Amino acid sequence: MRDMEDPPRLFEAEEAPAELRAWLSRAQQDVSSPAEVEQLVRSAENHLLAAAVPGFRHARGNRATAKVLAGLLVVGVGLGGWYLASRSPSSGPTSTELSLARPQVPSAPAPIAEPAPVAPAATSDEHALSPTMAKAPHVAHSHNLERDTVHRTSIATQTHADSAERAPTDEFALLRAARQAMGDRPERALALAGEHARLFPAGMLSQEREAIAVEALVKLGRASQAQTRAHIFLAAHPDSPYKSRIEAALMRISGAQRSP
Amino acid sequence: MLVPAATTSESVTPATPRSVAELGARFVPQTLRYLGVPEQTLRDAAQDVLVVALRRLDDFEGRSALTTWIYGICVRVAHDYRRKNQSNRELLVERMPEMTSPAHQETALEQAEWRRHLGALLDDLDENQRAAFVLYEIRQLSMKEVAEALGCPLQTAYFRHKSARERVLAAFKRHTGEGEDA
Repeated sequence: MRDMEDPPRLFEAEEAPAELRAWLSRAQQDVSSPAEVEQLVRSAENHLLAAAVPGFRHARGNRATAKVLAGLLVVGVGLGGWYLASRSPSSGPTSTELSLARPQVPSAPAPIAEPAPVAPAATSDEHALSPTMAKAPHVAHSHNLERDTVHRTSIATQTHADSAERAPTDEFALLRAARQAMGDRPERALALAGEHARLFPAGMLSQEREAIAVEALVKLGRASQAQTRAHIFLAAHPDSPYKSRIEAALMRISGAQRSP
Repeated sequence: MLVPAATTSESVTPATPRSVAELGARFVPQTLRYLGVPEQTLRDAAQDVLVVALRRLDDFEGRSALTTWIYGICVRVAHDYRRKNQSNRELLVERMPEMTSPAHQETALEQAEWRRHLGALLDDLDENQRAAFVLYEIRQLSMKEVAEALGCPLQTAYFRHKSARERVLAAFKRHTGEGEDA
């Protein structure tokens, strides 16, 4: 799929000085701590609230802004819970609610909140899903805290899994590796998507995972599995931003079937 | 055809504002820092990236990965901040800043040290080269994703990265002095 082979990264290049390689490796792992994440999300939340409420300066984008505001309220609760959980397993979501009490603004237009439209969803094929997940028939409307609990558990599981495997250590890296493998190793991409589903069943990038899995299945010629997975996904997320990508993958199946 | 029965409804979640904010907050400040946004304005710039991403979430079409899309916003915001600060040269003097929290076992001092060195090398690059280098070498995007994030043709991304890499290697030799000769 690539026009040219990507050059080797400098941190792996033999000819690069060891010290420079070390700096690059460290920079690659340079991400925000949970506390920094929380702070930044809060400041974005405050900014949006401040910008939206007095006089509705951003009236043009009201729909989007309202969704964002409502979503960010959920972010505050969820992220705080996740952060506290990551620091001390016993802490609950209560203290995170304090962060929501802070905004000076009356109340965000909560009714517009899109309650994570988690519908039938999900896949039925191979190792992509852990059997334990099947026990959740439908999910919680605006109560993303339930999702957070799953996420938290995933993180805990992840630490164990990471030490045993060479798979990337976070959700983001896992799917990046899957995307990179897609070009010439779709089976690897599919396996990584499966790994993502196992470690991060309710992960932030689960839609992207499904898109990757469908594309990988198409590339592997597993048309019916790809179609089933795609249809389940699209039924659950008809407005997903990944819709066109998934549909494009399905088109490739039809194209291939027409010209055997 | 559709088998909603044996469902695992939690396995797929949408790209909600929540997920975007969480995701972006993990890597946006660091990326902006490597892109040359001065520390004094780093927090504001990071917030701007998130705000833009959240406001435009409806426009995200999924043609690229969500992260690539956010990186694209980072590059544009970094550009704006660098321009804003061009008149205030003194702000740019403090390049790679003190970090707010040490990573893993690394001490704050060590981290500040290698960031400073790396920042000095990156300062040798022009803006386009720097963005290509940071996204490819540090953020480890594929070259195709780099091109998407930068909004340039793939060949241009390759070229920018290649030039950047040569300059970084040359700058490294200069910064470390004689190194091997001495």
